[in-house]
Amino acid sequence: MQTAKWMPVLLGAALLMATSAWASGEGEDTASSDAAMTMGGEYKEAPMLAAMVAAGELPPVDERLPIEPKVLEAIEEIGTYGGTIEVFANANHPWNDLADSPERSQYPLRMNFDGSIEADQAKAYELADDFMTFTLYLREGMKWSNGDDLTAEDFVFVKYQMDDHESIDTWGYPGQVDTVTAIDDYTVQLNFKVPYPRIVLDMLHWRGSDWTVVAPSTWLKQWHIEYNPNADAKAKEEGFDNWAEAFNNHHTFCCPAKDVNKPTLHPWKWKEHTTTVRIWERNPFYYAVDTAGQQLPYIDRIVSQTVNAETYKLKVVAGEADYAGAMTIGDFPLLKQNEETGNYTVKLVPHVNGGDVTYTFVLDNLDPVKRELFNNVDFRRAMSLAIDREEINETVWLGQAVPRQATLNADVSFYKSEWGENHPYNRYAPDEANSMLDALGLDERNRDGLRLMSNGEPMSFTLTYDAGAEGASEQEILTHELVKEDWAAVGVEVNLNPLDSDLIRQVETEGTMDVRATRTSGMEMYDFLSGNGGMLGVGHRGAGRFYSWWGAERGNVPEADRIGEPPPEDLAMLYQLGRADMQSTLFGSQEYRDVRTKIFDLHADKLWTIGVVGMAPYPLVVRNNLGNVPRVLPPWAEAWLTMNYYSNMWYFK
Amino acid sequence: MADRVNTAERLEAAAAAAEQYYVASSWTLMRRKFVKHRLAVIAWFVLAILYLAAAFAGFAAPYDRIASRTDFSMAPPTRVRILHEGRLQAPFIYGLTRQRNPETLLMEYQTDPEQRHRIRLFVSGDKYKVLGLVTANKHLFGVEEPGVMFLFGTDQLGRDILSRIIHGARISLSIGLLGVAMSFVLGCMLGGLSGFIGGPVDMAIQRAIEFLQSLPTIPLWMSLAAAIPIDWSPLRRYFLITLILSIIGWTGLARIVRGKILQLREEDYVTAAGVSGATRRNVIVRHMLPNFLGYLIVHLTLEVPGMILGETALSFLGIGLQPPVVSWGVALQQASNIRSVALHPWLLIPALFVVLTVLCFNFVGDGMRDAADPYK
Repeated sequence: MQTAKWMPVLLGAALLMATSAWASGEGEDTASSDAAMTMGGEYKEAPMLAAMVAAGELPPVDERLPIEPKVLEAIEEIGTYGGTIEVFANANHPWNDLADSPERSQYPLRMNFDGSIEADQAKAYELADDFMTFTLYLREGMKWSNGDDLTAEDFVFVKYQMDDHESIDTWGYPGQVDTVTAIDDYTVQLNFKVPYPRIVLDMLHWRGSDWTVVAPSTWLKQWHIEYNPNADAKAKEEGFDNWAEAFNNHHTFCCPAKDVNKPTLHPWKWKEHTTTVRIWERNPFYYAVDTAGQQLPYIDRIVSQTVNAETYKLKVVAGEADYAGAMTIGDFPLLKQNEETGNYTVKLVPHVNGGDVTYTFVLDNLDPVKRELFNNVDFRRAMSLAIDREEINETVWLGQAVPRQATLNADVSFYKSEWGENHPYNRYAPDEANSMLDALGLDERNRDGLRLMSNGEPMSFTLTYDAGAEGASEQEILTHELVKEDWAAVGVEVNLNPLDSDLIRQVETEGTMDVRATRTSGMEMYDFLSGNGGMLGVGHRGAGRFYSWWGAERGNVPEADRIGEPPPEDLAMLYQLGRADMQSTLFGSQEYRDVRTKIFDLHADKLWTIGVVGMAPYPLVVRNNLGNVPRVLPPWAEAWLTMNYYSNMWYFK
Repeated sequence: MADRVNTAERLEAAAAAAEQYYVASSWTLMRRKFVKHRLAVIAWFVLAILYLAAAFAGFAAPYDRIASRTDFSMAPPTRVRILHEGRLQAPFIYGLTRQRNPETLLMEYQTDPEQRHRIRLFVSGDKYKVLGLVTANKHLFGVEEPGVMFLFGTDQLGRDILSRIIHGARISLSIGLLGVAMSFVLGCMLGGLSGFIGGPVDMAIQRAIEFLQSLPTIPLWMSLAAAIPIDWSPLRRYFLITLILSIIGWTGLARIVRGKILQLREEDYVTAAGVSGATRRNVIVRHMLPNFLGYLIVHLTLEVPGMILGETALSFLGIGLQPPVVSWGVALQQASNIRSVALHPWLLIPALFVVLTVLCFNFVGDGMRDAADPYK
């Protein structure tokens, strides 16, 4: 480890507080003296790039950086250049690790450790008071990884030459965006159809990334028929049928990358991409520097191998990974026991999830008897009382999760404990549950001890969970098994029904699902407008039957395509609140808190979704000599964002 | 003189033995020869014990197979002791206390010498049904509550592994027999038809067999098992899996039957029987079948482990039987992660039983093969 001096001026007090929880004893000395910022605006660069500059392959660093580069304060200390981060991607969750976004990426805006939001890729931003306009001010002289200038045209191009072209595949702008205008070369203005304050959050993660709202238009235009009349011929030359196919192939960055040469704004650019190995190398035109004037990132290269889930753990335990986060709490003991031999440190880090296991009784079940039952709040409350959450937490979650109802993460600023831990029905009271069910007229039982419903059928339901690659973890399935026993003890049988995600979506629309198990961040519980948003009563995520009614109301779904019955009144109220939240409240404002408080009060009262445990932390493995990895994170839960570890600041000690 | 008497006695004895040999039925001879194969006999007894335990699983197993005891999640195998404070005692076990390790967060179990529980026979415990008829609560062995004894440890939900192995044996051991029975019926019928009728029927059946045998087993099983509707009851699933396993099993048998029939058809005594006016059916059943029944039995015995392994493989891959059904494959499937191997190796004990059973069947099959041709 190099000698270094402490630079208090550079480290914000808040930052120190945030990181002191983790920083080692010698973490107080920081910032190498030889990396100190030279006056006169000269920047430093990685030796790897310096060599290329000397060979004439690259312009000097001052020309590569924007006029005003983003200056980032070190999380622990100012780092030194070099090294390759070796990671593994879990084949089941290839997007869930350092290897891919979000940890590797940066976006127009960023969230600080205190929850404040500031410009990152952009120089500044502005949201109009009526939430109808959003303006991004770009950094003059900022460049794509191939050296092309980043201009407002790159944003306009996405909206009009990609989103609006039917034959081009794009994630694109949110549906609320009406127009995208270039005020000048470095100013982009977004105008909305409806008030859309959430654009600020969108700009904090992949929705604002260089494969959604901004694209290297100069580079892409060579395949676009509007700019290159010979685009079709060029496409044929490359072996494609037409220009759009070629265009799609070159611009698709994600999942997987088709053309590794596509320019990016992220700290590393693609070098190689196969199904088993992915390699990124530093982006010589990256726009950010540290406080000592060193161009970021510090690390030269990321190498990621895709392996299956068990091999992943073996590799981590053997100490072959510099960083690993795609594991569950159940893996912690094994990781901890091998900490020393593996030369890494494993910590349990909090997760944004509000509910790790939640159950929704599907409110629009086609069976009228079941539907009546599921729509009875007392039934749902009784089922909640029958669950022994403490036992489940101790047995399955190593005692580290929180027994709580399905609601927001407790880190959220306006959180009330009566929504989660202190919810009146977050208790284990099987006797009370029994008498509540008896009082509902379910007091007759068959020979197997199952209660009989009003039609004489035994209370036997299917409990459906996602068995797909991104589906239920081992802990979730064990939890289902224990809940099954708890419910059997009060005379209600559930049969576990693992289904693939696609099948679940289908069954949801058919209205034959009884109980749907999911995990939730809390966001799905009211976010009715975003595509993956809350399908309460029809399970989360995906187009349920009620959704078709709401879609019709907004004009997104033809009236004729509505399925089943209209949503019940209380659920409709939730929907209206959710819409209000989206359209008129600004993230972090008092109004925003008030609306969301109402939403979750309603949830706590109606208990549409029963929670078992939530906020289970997950193990994060970091190589001992990897510096600047934040261990205290910004309040992601509030904004419902996937965590970003700011890997552009990581370095090897 | 004495020598002559001895010689005479010996000759007599030899003659008697020879007479016994000639008089004895082929079955007696087979049994005699089988008994000489030590390993086969031992294996025979081991299998008998396993099947008995499976038949009376509720009684043989100390605990219920499904009910969780979450207070004892992932408890290691209990040590049976006979020494307490240096003095010899009847077998007993110590009580268990548990504590979460604050570092690794692992639940750790310690024995508590203050509590001692004697292992008793016919102890009362979880309720079960004998052969699905009578409800009982006596178990072959165990300790009285509140003591707990997990000879092979417990799984994550605190279920006794030994009890799950014994209950799982019901499925895992019977699937072999049932599958082989199906193979037997199919094999004898189709092989018999093929050999006896010959011509285009023979041609068609033989090509079908060749086609089936050329398919890679595991992928075929997998695709068939994946086609079973997920909402089918465990019982229907079980029968279907058995059927899937025997789809390939019958082909080998059919070949043997056909070959034997073709060979025996030309034998003099078959011709004689035919000339004497025996019906076709009688010729097959009375004269031909006994002559190759031995081979069939040997073949079947050797087929059983294949079926057991097949079930284990399918369930292990998660497409065979599903929880809450308990089979050895299901038990192993739940142990198929590096955590089990590293931290809770006792979860892999069901694998030992698979190995044991397969070995036993192979030994028995070996003994039977020797015995099958008793006149050699």
